[in-house]
Amino acid sequence: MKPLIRSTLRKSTVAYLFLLPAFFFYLYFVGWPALQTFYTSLTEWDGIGPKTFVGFQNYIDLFSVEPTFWIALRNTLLWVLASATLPVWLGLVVSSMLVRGKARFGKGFQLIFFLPQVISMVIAAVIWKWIYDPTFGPLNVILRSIGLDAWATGWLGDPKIVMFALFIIYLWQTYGFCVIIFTAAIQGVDPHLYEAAKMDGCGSAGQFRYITIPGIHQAITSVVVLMTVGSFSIFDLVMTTTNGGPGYSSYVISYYVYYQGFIQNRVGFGAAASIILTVFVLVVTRLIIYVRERDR
Amino acid sequence: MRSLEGLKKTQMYVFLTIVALFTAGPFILVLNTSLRTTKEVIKNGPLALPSAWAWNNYVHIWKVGNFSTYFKNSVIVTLIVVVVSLVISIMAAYAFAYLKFIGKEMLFLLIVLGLIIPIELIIIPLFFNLKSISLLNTRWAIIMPQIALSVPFTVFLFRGFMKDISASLLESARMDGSTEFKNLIYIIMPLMTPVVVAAAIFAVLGTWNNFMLPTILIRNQDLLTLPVGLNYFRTKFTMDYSMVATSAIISAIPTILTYILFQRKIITGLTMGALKE
Repeated sequence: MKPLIRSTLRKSTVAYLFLLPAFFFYLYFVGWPALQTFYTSLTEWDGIGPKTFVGFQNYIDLFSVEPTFWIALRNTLLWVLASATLPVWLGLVVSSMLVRGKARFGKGFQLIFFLPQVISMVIAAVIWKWIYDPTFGPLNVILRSIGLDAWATGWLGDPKIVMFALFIIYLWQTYGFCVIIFTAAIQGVDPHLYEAAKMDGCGSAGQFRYITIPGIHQAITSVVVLMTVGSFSIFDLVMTTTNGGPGYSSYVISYYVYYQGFIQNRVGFGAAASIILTVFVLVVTRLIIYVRERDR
Repeated sequence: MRSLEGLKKTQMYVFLTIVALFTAGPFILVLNTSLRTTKEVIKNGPLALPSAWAWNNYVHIWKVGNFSTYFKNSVIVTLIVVVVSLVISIMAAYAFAYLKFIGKEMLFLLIVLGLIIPIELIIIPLFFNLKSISLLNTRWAIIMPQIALSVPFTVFLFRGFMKDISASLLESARMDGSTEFKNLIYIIMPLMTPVVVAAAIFAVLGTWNNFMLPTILIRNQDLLTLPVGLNYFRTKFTMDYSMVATSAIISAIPTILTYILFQRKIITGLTMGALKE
C-alpha cells in the first residue's frame, strides 16, 4: 500500500506543476476576489475608510428599502427569460429552414446571420443608438415615410419601451449564435428519420416538431444554458446606450453593481447585489441542467 | 402539390430575406452614413445615398479621434492575453485529461464554475486589489484578469479535445521513459492545431471586445482599448453622425475580417464547445 500512495503523490506533483500557472492566475484574479466579494457584501464600506461588519444588513436593505434594486431585479429576470427563449426560437426556425428547407445560399445566409456576434457590444450600441435616434434615426424616418408617424418615438427615451428597444439590439446580436449551433446539430440528425416521418404523412411542421426538436434536444439545452448565462451580463449594452435611464427604467443588476460600487461608493451594497446576481446565475443554470437530466 | 411546395419555398425565402435584412441592414446603413458628410446626412436624411463619396471621413477620423492609440493598446493587450492564456491552459488541460492526481474532481469543478460566474462577481475586489499592488491604470490591470477569465473556457475546450486522443500513445512513450512535459510537446501538441486555432480566435474576440474591465480598471486616456475609446468618442461627437458612423466601421473591421477569414474554424470551435458538455 505504502509505495502506491507514494507513487500517487509523486505523480500528483507533476500534475500540480502543470496546473500551477493556470491556477495561479485563476485563483488570484477570479477565485480570491469572488470570496472577497462575499466578505465585502457583509460590510458597509465607502471604498476608502475601514470596513464595518454589518452581517446581512445589505441584503435586507436591497430587498426592503431600495426601490431601484427591485426595478433592476425585475428587468434582469424578464431579460433572462426573453434571452433564453426568443433568440433560441428564431435560431431554431432559421436553421431548420437552412438545413431541412435546403435553402439556397445557405452558407451566405449563415455568414450574414452571425456577423453581429463578432463585433463588440459597444459597436452594436453605437449603431443602434443612431438607428433609434428620435429625429435623425433611420427607424423613425422610415416609419414617417410610410405614414406611421404615430409610431415614431424616442425608442431609448421612453420608460415603457426602452427595455424592448434594448432587447431588439440583443436579439440582433445573439440569435446568429443559435443559428450556427442548431445548423450543425440538425445536420447531424439521421436523414432516414425524416424519410420515415414523410412516409407517415408528416409535413415540414410535423417533421420539425417530431424529428428535429427531439433530435437536437441536447443542443437546445446547451444553447439555452449558454444564452441564459450570457444574458445576465448586459452591463456593456446598458452602459453604452442608456446608463440605466430614462430615470431608472433600464436598470439591470449588472449595471446596478457598477453604479453602487463605483459611482455611489456604496461598495458593500454593490458587492451584495453582485452576490445575488451570481446566485441567480447558478440557480437558473442548475435548474435548466436538472430539467435536462430529468427528461433524458 | 407541386405549387404548394413552391409557395412554401417562396414563404421561406421571404422570411429568410427579412431576417437577413434585419441583420445586415444596420451595417449597410452605417456604412452608407460613414461615406457621407454630416451636413448631407442632416439635409437628405439617414437613408439617402451619398451625393459624393466622402472618403475623407476615413482620413479625418484618425486626426480627431485617438483611434491609432486605442488600436495599439488593443493589439498589445490581446496578443499578451492570447499567448499566455493558451500556453497555461494547454498545460492545465493536459493534467486534467491524462494525469492522475489528488483533488482532480474538485479542481475541475472550480474550472467549470468559472464558465458560469459573471464578471460582476469579481469586479469590485479586483479594482481594489489592483489598486493596492499599484497595477490600476496600467495595461496589466486588464491583461492579468483577462488571462484568468480566459482560462476556464480554454481549459474546458482543450480537455474535451484531448479526451478524444487515444491515451495509448502516451502509455508507450511513458514506458520508454519520456517525461510528461515531452509528451505534451511532442505527442499531443502536434495533434492540437485545429482546436488551438479555434481557442485562439475565441480568446482574441473575447479580449478585443471586452468592455467592462477597461472601463472600470483604466482611467488613463492613453491606455484605453478600442471599445472604451469608441464609447468615449461617441459621447464626445454625439451630433456628428458621419464621424460616429465612421468610427463604428473602423472599429468593426478587425473582428469582421477575422470572422470572414476564419469562419469555418470559428463555427467548428463553437459547435465543439457548445455541443460537447
